[in-house]
Amino acid sequence: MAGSEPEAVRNLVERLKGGDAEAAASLYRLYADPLYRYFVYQTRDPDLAADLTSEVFLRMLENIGRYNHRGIPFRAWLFKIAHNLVIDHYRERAKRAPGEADLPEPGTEDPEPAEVDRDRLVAALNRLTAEQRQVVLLRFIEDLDIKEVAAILGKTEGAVKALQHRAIAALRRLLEGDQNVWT
Amino acid sequence: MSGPELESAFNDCIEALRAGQSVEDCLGRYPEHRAELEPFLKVVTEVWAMPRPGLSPAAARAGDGRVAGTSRG
Repeated sequence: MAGSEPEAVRNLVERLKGGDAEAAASLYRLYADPLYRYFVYQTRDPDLAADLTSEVFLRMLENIGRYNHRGIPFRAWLFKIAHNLVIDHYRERAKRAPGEADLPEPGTEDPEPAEVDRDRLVAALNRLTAEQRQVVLLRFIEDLDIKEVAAILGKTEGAVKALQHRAIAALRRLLEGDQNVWT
Repeated sequence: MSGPELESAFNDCIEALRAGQSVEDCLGRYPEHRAELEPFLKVVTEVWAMPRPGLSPAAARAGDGRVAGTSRG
């Protein structure tokens, strides 16, 4: 898995571990947009998505000393931080407003960025379970491979394959108007 | 679509599409499952075509500055 990490990224990570601020900036420029996309689709709030994106990189700086590329590719490590931030966000939100921890129903909030289409596919995506949505975003929006997604979600590769299959099946049923998608 | 054989065909097709093959190429490899696979692969290609929003230039500058300030601090 680590072998698929571009050598340039591994070099940047090694420089970052040595305290090179330019390496941090380069990694930010490389991964800020993919992480932002992930957060936008997860939260449907562009301002929050931008804040969470920055938070990923601050946590990267705090924890880079513990990162080992032989365990997980760097990109997957960043998305794992992002995944945990999304979980924390909804946990906090549930504490503040019990019963409202899930993503809003389509059309009940209005924070999406102009560039995100309010089409039925986005609405259907937001009706998936949290796990299904994560696997769709990571696999089909961010184009991460099965091994990376398995590392991020803490699942086996087989479980991720089954999950992506169920997620696409659920999306299909939602797009066809069947509301009973989780049975 | 259900069953391990179909799930396996679906996952194979996903990898083939990611490698640059066409939907028709994938369906041709599984003629017995064509009717079930086709709508699934259509959903996948629709998801792939979804918008890819990026940080605004202002947000990117702000984030870059925050990271740079922390890494130099």
